[in-house]
Amino acid sequence: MTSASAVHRVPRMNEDWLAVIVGLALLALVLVGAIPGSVIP
Amino acid sequence: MTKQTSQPTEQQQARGSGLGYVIAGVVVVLVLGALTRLLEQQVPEWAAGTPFAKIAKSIEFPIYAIALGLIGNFILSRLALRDVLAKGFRTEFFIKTGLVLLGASINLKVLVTAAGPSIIQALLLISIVFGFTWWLGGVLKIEDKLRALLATAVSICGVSAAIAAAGAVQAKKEQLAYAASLVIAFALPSIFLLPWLADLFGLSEPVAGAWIGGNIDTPAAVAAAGAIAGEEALQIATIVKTTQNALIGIVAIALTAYFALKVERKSAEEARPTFGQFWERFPKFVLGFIAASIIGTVYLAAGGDKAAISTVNDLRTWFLIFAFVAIGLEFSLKGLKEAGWRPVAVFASATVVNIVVALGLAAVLFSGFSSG
Repeated sequence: MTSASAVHRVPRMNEDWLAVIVGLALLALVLVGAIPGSVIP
Repeated sequence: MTKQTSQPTEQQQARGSGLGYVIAGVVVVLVLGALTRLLEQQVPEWAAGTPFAKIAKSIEFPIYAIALGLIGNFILSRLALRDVLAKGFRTEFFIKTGLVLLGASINLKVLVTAAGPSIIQALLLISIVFGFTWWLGGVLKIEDKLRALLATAVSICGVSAAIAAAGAVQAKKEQLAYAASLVIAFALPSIFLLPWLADLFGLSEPVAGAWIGGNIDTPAAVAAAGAIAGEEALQIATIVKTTQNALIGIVAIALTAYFALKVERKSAEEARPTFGQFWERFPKFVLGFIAASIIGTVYLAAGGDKAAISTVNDLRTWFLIFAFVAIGLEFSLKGLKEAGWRPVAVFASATVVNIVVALGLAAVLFSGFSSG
């Protein structure tokens, strides 16, 4: 039971933080010019 | 989901094929998202010169995305593939990432200084509409977590607010999907109804914008309705909606505290939640949202290119498209049937209250407003 809920909890935490990491990483890449506007359809 | 204990090799095989299904599910979302973008851009051109030209122009990406998601849902269900691919339909991830990116376009200074009436309107509107929805949900005996989701969704900013609330109160995924379905079902007609009513009532553009921004739940639908009502209406609607967006975190914290203290209290010891429990429930994307807002504000203050923020907004639109596609793919009538008529009645009543109160507040706070 404990291990099952722990297993269940890990991906949820990861997804929440993953959104923060991906969002901020994309923001940083755009601001430094690594992703130009022309690349995005 | 109920896997029996088996040999390690079988577990590894299951994990391998599981990952394959997740990737396949994500690919389905990406393909339908790309198709959404194609339709959004091409349909107005295809319809040019026909009686449908005006309608085609006014259809926004959420409509295509949801429609394609629902069609995909139907086809995959028929092929008995929907459930196995469902792990790739990461609605929460897509919307949370989209919200973090949204933060970059929100200037903290604008929120604090130029949006005075918006802040007053947002605070009053959220308090009144949230309070009414919570109260009516209690009268109709709706389960507390769904009640919190519906109240937050209808009073703040729809799906994204429901997600923040779902994280705060640890709601079930089906409850979130249900709240999201209701938000979308009510938001779509509002895109056309509110600008039409604003015109019928002879509202000035600032008042119409404040009404639309305070009323329609999802930011994309607000932008669509604001654009129909006029340029100034669009600007005011966006400021009002942005202000409400900024309050998601505060409401999420309040809900976290309330559920930890009142609803789920099991013993005196648990009555006071620890910081760890509080932190566990706190929606982390709110931190990313605030960080992005600070980064965007500092970037522009330091002479950064505004075009870069537009590019970030384009990326945000992509993530919102993926989220809407995933919502369509995840949509289940089973959940709606199980939830019954009560949540629909609560949501509809709250929407009516929202329309009336938002109109009154907009008329009082924005009647003499001039953006010039």
